[in-house]
Amino acid sequence: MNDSSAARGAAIDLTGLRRQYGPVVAVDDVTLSIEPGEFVTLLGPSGSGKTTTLNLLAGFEKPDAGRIEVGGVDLSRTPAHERNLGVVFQNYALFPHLDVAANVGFGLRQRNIDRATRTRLVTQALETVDLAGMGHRRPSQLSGGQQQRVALARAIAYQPPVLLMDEPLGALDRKLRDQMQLELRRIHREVGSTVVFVTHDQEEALALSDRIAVFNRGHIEQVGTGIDLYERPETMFIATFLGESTIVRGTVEHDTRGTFLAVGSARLRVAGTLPAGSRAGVMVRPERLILSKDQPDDSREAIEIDVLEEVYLGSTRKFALRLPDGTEGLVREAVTTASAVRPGDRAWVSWRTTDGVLLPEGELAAPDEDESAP
Amino acid sequence: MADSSPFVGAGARRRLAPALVVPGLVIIGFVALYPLVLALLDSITQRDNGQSPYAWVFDNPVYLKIIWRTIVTALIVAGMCVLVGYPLAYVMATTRSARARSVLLLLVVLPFWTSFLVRVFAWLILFQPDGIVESVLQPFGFDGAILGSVWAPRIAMVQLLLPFMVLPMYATMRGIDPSLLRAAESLGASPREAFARIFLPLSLPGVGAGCLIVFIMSLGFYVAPALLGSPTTSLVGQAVFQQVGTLLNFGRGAALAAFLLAITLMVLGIAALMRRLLGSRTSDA
Amino acid sequence: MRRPGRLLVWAAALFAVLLLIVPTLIVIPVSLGDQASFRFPPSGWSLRWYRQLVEEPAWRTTFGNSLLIATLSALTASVVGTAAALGLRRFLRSINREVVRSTLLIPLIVPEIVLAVGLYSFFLKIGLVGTLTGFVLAHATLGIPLVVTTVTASLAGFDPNLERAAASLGAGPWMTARRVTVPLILPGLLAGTLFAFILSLDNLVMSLFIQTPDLSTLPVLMWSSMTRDTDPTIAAAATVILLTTTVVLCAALTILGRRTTTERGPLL
Repeated sequence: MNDSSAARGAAIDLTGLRRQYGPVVAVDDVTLSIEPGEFVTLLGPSGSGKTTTLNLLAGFEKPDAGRIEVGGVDLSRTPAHERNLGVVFQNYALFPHLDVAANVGFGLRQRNIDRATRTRLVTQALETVDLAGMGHRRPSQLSGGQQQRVALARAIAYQPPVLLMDEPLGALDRKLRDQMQLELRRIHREVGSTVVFVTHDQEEALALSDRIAVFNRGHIEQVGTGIDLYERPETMFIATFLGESTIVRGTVEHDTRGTFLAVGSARLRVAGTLPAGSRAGVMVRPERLILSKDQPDDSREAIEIDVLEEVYLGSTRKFALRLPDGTEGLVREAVTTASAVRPGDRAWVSWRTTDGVLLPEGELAAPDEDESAP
Repeated sequence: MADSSPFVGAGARRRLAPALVVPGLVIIGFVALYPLVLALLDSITQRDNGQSPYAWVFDNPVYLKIIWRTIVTALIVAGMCVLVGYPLAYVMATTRSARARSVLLLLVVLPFWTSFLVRVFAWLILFQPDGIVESVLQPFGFDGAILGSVWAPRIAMVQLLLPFMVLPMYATMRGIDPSLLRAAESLGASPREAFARIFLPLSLPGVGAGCLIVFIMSLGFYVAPALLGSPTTSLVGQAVFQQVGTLLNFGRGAALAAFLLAITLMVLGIAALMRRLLGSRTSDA
Repeated sequence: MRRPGRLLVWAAALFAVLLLIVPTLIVIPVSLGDQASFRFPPSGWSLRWYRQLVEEPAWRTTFGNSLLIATLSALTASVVGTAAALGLRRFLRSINREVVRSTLLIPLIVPEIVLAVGLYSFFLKIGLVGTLTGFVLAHATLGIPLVVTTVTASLAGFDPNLERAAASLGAGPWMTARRVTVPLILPGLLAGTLFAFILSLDNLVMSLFIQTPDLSTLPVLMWSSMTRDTDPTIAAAATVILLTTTVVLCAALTILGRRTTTERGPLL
């Protein structure tokens, strides 16, 4: 291993990865290219294949098909202990019988690095994670946040070109998690390794990543920056998984002026296009919707809805709506703009044509089952 | 290099798994399983004067009596162990003093690790004619010899097997959340009722596990009955020993051992069945 | 519990503890008596039975045999049992794992006297009766399930990610076993080995079948003396065993207690 290449991150190329457990396909044809030094998050609901993908990359499991390349070298058949990657585990996996310094120095000792250099690198790694002077403690004497830092220091001590992290902040409380996110960004900048980060927390993914790969049922649904995924989702799953959304469903129609979505008697103009006659929906983010008592003018797309509920949230106010097809939708408005509608009213909801994203009918993300949703 | 190494990656590790259990299986197969099966098969085909050893056991009221006495003894020993051990396990599990708990635990574990033979021998001294136990019992109108009676081995077995009863009960009781009792009391149960309706039922799995161990260990007990009992109070273990060790009649010894084995397996089977039934009932609730 | 109830429970618990500890202690005064009897209290005091124990060659030889057999069989059980426990958790199909596990536990479940019947006729046939190999194999068989059980128990609290972590840091399977797995299961391993050692040292039933006048063990000698005559030398031997066990156990608890941070050591 030479220092100059290790200090920089390595490119990662996953091609056609597949992993099956009996009849269950955990990872199905996953292909992903990651730039050197990039911070990429694998995001998805539990059981979507993101952790299995990370385990394949780490070498803890063998792919049934596909290639794994790191820095242009094919590692598909290399055992985990010869891959030279750093891994941070969800429950930290600190060796309970070793003190902090021995934990952090474990990888260095394995690489036959001499004692003096080892001590220097361990100290350096502990300083990076703000734990200078804690080398003689046992893992059991540390708080959860400190254990997390030791796990991180252990993975970066030998300056691996790639860092893999499996829900590393999952066990921390909200406040500590926010603080550790900032730390992770700083450490990523300092060590320069390529980071592959697994989480089911979309806020965490948005806060940390250069790019996010959203997993669903073993395959990658969409890869892109946070803005890409939020503003330009490609599937109903992405639209409903990431952030809140209101979806108006109908049938696609074409005429000389462009593409429309027919919803009951209303014809809504849409950007983008799909085959005529197909079932589709227009997805609009709740903060881009406006509620009004009267029908707005022709410059905006509008449908008539029932207002179900109003919730005051401090900086914003949220309205729950009953859409024409019976499903529910959301509108979020700043508290400073006081619209006159009240729960129980019949009212209009409208948006600019370009704020609507036309999506084919498809699988929706299940509502988030835990508290990590924003 | 990776390919030439015999221990690469998860796949190789999986292939290594059977190799690791092989020495254990070989030794147990060679010393325990194979000889046992061989002896049982031999006992089925063997004939003494045209009589199968099993027919011999069934035709011989003495041996039926011995089998019955063994089962009764095992039941009595298990029952007495529960009576004597439950309060101890309860105190160990519920005392608030960590010091008292660890001292009691040490006092339970110490005999657990002490030689059975030494402990049986101590009872031999205590049960001597005109010994301590007899002189203590005399004022209560007891006269006669305790050594050689059916009760001498039973009392000793209770003492010998008590740790095997207390430890599982203690482990189960430690797992009972004390706030459950407080909850019951907040709902209007007196401490006595809270114990009877919450603690006692929750501790039963431990009692069951302890009874299972003690019962099975009592069934095959040889040392205590052989030393403290008499030929007229003999248990199956002694009968097996006599046939095989003294008379070298392997067929009859194996036939008697087969009864012991059958009872043991039956009890284990019933216990497994009960655990499944009780388990499904509590999960339904 | 109300006060009187609580007091009653404590009294019952105290009775159980006394029953566990006190009767065994009778061997101590009897071993110090001056007459060849099991009378308590003895008519006078002496150390003659301890002198007898040390001077009579039969006691010395069988004690040496017992120590050798216990050491060899405990080491065998320890290595074989630990390997088996480690192998058990790598089985992919739980049905295979349970079948193997049950087989490994047979010596623990089947009454020893039943095992002895098969063992005796088999060992007679292949000439293992009266041999060191025969003793070690038989005692190791009884010890293996104990080691499997205690090591499996230590592995139950063992995070499999620790081995993955070691691999990710560059440690191969042997290194991972040496630096991570074995140190972490060490308390269970030591407890199981100690258990197997004591079990062998105390084994009577199987040993009665394997022994010959040429090769015998301490419990066999004690047994034949106990069943034949009234010889307080056994009381002296019993006292020595009793004190040794107590000291060894207390030492083991202190050492293992320091190694493990849990409330209960693996011996308890």
